[in-house]
Amino acid sequence: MTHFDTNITALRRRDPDLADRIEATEPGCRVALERARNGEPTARVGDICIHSPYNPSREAEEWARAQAERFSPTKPLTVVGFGLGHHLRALAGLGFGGTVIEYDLELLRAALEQVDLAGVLDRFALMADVPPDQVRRRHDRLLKGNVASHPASLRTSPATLGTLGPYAEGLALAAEGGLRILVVNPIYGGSLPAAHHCARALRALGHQVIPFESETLAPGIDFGKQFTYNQSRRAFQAGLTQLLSQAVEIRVRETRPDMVLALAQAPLLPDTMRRLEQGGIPTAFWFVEDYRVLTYWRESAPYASYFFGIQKDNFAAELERVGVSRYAYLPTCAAPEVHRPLELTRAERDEFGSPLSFVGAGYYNRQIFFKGLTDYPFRIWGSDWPLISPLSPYLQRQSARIDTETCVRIFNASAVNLNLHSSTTCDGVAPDGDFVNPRTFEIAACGAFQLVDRRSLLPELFGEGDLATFGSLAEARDTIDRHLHDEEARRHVALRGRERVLAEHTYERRMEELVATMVGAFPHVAERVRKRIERRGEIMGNLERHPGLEKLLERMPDRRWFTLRNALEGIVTGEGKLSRAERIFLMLQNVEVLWEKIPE
Amino acid sequence: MKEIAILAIARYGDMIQMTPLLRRLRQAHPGARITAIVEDRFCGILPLMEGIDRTIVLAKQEIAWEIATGETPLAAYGTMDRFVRQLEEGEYDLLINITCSRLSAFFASAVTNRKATGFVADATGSRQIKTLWGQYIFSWFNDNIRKYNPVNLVDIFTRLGCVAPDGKRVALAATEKGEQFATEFLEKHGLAGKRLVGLQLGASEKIRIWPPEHFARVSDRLQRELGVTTILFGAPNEKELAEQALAAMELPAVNAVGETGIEELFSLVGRCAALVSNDTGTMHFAAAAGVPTVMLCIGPAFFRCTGPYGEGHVALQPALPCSPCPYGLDCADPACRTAITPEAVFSACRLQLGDGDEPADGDFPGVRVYRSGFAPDGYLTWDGLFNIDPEAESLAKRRETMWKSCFDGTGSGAGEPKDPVLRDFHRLMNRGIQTTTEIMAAARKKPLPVDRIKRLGDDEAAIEGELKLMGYRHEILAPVATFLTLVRENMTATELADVARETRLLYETGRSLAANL
Repeated sequence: MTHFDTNITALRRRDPDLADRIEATEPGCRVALERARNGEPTARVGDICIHSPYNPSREAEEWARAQAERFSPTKPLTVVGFGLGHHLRALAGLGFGGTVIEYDLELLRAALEQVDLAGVLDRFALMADVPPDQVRRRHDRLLKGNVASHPASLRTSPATLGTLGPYAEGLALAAEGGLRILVVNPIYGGSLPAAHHCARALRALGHQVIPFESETLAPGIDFGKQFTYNQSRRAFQAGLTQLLSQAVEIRVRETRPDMVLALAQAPLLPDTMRRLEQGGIPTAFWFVEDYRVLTYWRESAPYASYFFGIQKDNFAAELERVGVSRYAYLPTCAAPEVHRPLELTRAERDEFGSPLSFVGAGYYNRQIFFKGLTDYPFRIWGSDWPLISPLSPYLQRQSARIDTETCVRIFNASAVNLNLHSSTTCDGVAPDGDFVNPRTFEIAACGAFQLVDRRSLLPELFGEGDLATFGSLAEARDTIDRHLHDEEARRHVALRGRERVLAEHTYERRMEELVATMVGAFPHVAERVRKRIERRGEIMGNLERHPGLEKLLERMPDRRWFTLRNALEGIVTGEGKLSRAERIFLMLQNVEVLWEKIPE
Repeated sequence: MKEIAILAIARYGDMIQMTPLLRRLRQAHPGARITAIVEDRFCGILPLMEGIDRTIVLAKQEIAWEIATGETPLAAYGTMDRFVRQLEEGEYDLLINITCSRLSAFFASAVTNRKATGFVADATGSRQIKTLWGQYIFSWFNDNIRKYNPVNLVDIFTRLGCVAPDGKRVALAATEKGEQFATEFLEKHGLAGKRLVGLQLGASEKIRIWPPEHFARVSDRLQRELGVTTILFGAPNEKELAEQALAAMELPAVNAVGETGIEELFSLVGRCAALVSNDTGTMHFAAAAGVPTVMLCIGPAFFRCTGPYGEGHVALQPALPCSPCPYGLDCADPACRTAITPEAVFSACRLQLGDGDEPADGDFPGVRVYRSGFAPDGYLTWDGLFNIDPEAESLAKRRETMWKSCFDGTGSGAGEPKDPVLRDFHRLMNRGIQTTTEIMAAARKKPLPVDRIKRLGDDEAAIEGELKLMGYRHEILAPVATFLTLVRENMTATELADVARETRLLYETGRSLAANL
């Protein structure tokens, strides 16, 4: 039997589908197979040697021993990069097992042909078909445990393995270290609550949030409305944005965050982002908008250190055209502490509930589509609906804007929550709709039943049965009819949808992903965090040497993150005897820090 | 004494100003080991200082950076902890804190000692100021009565060390490195053998800086009329000032701004025949090198407090009622910057260089001129030379005698003063002594005569109120009343009899001051 026969048999026992796919893969020319000096098989991809050209086994054993110093073999290990498997053989020899992530089927076939990997395939599962962003989102446990990256594999596959390795490292560092993140809120608009949710999530993850609350200047926008002409209003708003953008730089200098997070509409001008990055502080810009509708990303994106969006390939291609290389897909999500199941009173059910309901603005496609649903007991909530139209009888509160808490009540009180993504051009369901709107996650987070139009990115976010979907009016009506009187079916779907959101689509998960991406992408940020962990560890690991510190730390909001002010708040002089730790913090309070001395 | 620690979290000037203290400690305790606790920014001067056996350096810049960059406070904590551990090691017979800051007080609290002087924090973090000289310096340090102080900081530092001034100047020892630099610098600029006058343009604060254009005028006149070569001194961050001065000069000066380290600066200043300076470390370098200095007292700078310590220096104080101003004042009209004219400074230089006719009052428009010397008791003193108000001069001398005689126990005045204000104050102090004595007696009685003690307490409170009021109403008493108020704030006793005893001591001190003024 050849190595391939033995290996493929072993693989088939674990993963028959993958075994079939590897068998069907034709050997290509990407991977150049060679013999090392010691006669063992080795390989190159382009100029990159995947294993040692001299002695692959010895190199692999050294690498495996280094991993054994970091991790215990009793816990599952995720290995990023399969190569020809020499390093996996060495790990298996040390008793390790777990999962290997590899995307290159041609390389996998070569490995199975060249090296006896039966022992490896017994101990390690192989993940070869889940895109990196889904590994991050759905299989995050693999990256949160013990992760060993095979360095040559990362170099040969920079877009896949090359992102997962640093990402896993970023996850671990961010979780242990905690970052200092300046969150720039928009002055107003739909992204503002999202920015608040982000800040809350970051805090929950143990990061220190330095708020930049642009919304406190919202009255300025009202003031600007007093101008007569659009041009003068726009000029005023541009001035206000300029002012706030400069203020962000001042705040950054004062607080020296590890990174800046800005959401769509945040007053952060390209020049500011450029200067911040020059100063070693990267900006993460989360564009939670449809890039086809709002196009100002063309100016901002090239200057953000890392750009995140809610759309995938098309947007990535557009961004590449304007020179953006650091882009990641980061879908919208929900805040379960806000969008939550509620026990409603009968009065509330009467006020907010209906068999069929919709919450949202009166976009063109909705105005057309909803006319076909007017034979249902239907309630439409939200602003910007024409008050005189066939839909008028269904409009609630005279088309007033609906606040978040009311939304939550409506979702909880309604049997079928309709969700139709907006379009200004289509008659109903947008045939090429890709991103998934926040409402999808919010309704699901409420544990409410939802019927949502199909989007190309929906299936990778929600599983079959997590939501009810439709692609046309007829299909929507059919689904409504089937579910309207089947409470059990609705409950089942709603429950699954909520579980999915809680597991994969909360702001905490998104922020975890965003921060890990940033730490992974910017080595100097990772270094800062690593140094912080070390320095903190020196003290925390020897608390007995620091009388009073343990007690003082108990008062801190988060041991990873507290400010000098937090530490000083509980210290009172002139009363009881101060501990040594308290005295040291009082010394720190009296060290003068001059503005001129703060690095720009 | 075996172990002595000096806490000097201070700038170059203060470090130089503590050199007589070091000298006197060495003489008084030849076998003692002297440890200096200093901050990193200014420890470059240590190679020039004699008498220090050991140093503990505070990494203040690193800590400030860690705080400024918003790192976890545990990073700064860790750095501070390492420093504090060094303070906690060993035990000192005497700890002298010459620094007037809360930070230094907390440091002092970490040092185990048998005796401490100056500012310390107690176990609860409250302020305590040890010794009368320590309390005295604090009484004027942050207050508007500093202008009444007649005792040089150097002498107070020395007294904090429980040793007496010796009538000798501040002293530094030039290093080989510095000397070599100075020689090469002079050769490079063709200055060997020439008579040099140094001009120190900058100062620690903008409010203390004489305009660079004025320096330029003086420089031109010195070069043109006295044939000397002028040389500009300053730190790298003062290059802009130098450029401004050079641009305003008709005859360019030699520019050494930013060219010198500490050792080099000292050696180069030492080659000058005179130095014109704002209140700066460079001025103290000149004093240590025995170079006659012209001190420009701009803003809060005050020659009596921080003037060059040695014989024969000249100080120009603007003849303005607000000069010197309190520390930290944000002045909208800093008239003192221009009150000192280039003509007056030129005249002072001529005086110091011994060139030309004896100057007269008219040569110093708008300024009062003083010259330093040592009093028979070894303290520095200043005598008025030109444009002097005899009454103010006499009062300054009386105050000088008053503080020294009271704190050092050398005063002879005992009876009631003749001056009616001082006599009233003297009597008030006697009332205070009487009342506190009665409280002490009452406190010993059993059962405690509560009503009587309460009445006596009310009487004492009234005396305290009157003391403060007299200080506010009569300028002559302002520093005395402020000092006594600080002494009261600094009391540590908690038992009634002890409080009364300390308070009586306060009134006795007040009486002694009034008697010796």
